[in-house]
Amino acid sequence: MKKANKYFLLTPLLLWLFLFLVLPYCFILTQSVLTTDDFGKVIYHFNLDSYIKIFTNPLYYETLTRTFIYAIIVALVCILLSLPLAYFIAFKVQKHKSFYYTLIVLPFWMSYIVRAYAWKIILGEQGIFNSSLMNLGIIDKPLRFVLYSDFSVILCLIYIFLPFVCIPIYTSFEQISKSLVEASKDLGANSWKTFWKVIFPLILPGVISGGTLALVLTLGDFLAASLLGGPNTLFISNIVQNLFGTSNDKPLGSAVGVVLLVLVFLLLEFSSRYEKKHETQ
Amino acid sequence: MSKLELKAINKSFGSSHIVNNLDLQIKDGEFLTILGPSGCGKTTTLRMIAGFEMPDSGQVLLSNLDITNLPPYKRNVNTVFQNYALFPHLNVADNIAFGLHQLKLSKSEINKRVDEMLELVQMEAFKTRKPFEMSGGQQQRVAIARAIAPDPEILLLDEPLGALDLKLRKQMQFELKQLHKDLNKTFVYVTHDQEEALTMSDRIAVMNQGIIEQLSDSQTLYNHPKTKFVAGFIGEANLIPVKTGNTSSFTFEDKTFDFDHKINSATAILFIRPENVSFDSMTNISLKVTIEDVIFVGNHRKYKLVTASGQKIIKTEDSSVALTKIIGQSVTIYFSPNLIQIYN
Repeated sequence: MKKANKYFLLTPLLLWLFLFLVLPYCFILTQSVLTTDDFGKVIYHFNLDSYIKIFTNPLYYETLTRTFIYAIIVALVCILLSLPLAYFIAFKVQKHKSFYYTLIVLPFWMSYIVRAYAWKIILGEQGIFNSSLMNLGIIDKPLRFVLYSDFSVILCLIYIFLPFVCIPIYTSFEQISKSLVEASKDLGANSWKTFWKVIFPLILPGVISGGTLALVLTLGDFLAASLLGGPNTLFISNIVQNLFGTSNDKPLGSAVGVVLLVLVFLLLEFSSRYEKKHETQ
Repeated sequence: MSKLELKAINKSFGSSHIVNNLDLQIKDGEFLTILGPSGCGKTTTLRMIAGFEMPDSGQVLLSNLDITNLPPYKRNVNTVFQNYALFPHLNVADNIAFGLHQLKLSKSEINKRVDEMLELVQMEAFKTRKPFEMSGGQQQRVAIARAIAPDPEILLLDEPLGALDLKLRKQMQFELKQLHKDLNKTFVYVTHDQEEALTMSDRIAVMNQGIIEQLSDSQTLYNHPKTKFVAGFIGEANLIPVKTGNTSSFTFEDKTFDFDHKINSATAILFIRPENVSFDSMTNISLKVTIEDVIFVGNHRKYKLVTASGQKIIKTEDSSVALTKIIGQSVTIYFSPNLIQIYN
């Protein structure tokens, strides 16, 4: 009786997950093995054409690869920026730690779109970036490549996903007992060695989980590319968006979605296996 | 020759003066314990020897070399931490090898030394365990092995047994003492547990409010405490207010006794251990008291005595002595002059 009660409390959540997660995935999975008639209407005829297209047409597999490379770049830069930042807040800040922490979390309180638009203003021809460089006399006319390019998209994604990487890394730093650092120095390791031999191995799970988060989120992002991307900046999600919209090829769109989903699941699985292997408690 | 010398060390955190003009000489090969209540500055003193804290003023000399401003990794001293501080991502062998790697030893030398250390602390079977797979006592053994492995000039121990249960603590006290004997190394041990200090140490420095109140061996410390604080902190003690008009006598319960002491103020404190309060007539320092209660405490019995003026005095005696007194009885107690002290 008690046990039944416990699960009863989960019903709203399970219902929600079923309606808005499981069911849609079932639709997509089913749709991905169907086909369309000449007018783009989905017809119930089983085939694997959509999957074959993804792995034979360079538009799809190349975009998928490129998106993956961009995602790796975003994740790596986020990690590199987070390491010193999180280290500073965890170990060097004595007072007002929560203030610094809030500064990292603060961007979460603003809409993604607003923040993406902000980059338009900063990077635009009349933007702060170009006008500052011009005022300083470094350039004569505005740099055009900084906006509507791969550069601006990656920059925006790094900015957006940085907190997702920084927070797990910061948490890992915070969990390191100061006495471990002291023990390392006591045993003859200087600060540099202490970081690589003691601190880094201990924050690695945080680095991996933060990096995975940035990787996965970038793989599924389409807003940055559509707002800040150039004519050739295309993320895999932009293609999905297109296939469900103008191109009206829902089976193919679904198939791309399924491939992306499998990819993300594989990434998450690797990441959690790694974390389990390096458990320290 | 002293192995380690602290000269006029001062250390403050904010407005609190933690260590106050401290001088301490530690002899080569001795087991010295810094004993004191929490907040007395004992751990801070140890941390300044290790290099985790820098003194505001003063000098730390190790084998006559000034190490005051050296960082911890350049000092040839190692610490056993209270919470063990084993590296959670490394197994037992790698934890012990950590300090050896910094010495740039060859792989075979490191392996040999690790095995030696494991044998020393009887942890051979745990070589590949991770710290979280071991009990507190086992972790502490590994922590000791790790600290000894690089062969430091001094081993610092910061309340290393504080987190262990009583039985294990007693056993580890014995083992540490044995280890000290076998290694012939200088140990500096910090604790707030007076019994631990009395059991293990060659010498004990009793610290209170940033200063060393007394530095001597266990017996002297127990029998001849130099200050009122030491008298009250170590063991059980009767601390009885008395009047002192001059330095050759004191007055208590309207009786004046001849006794040479150094206190020349109106009021003072007389110190006597409960086991030194005697029913047998032996000196002229005697007092009429009433037995308020008799308590049996295993190997000894405790008398609660009260004087005419209401001053309570505790006397203990061996339980093997036949009990001849009853509650409510009026008796005379005697203090031997060489077993009492008078403090300000």
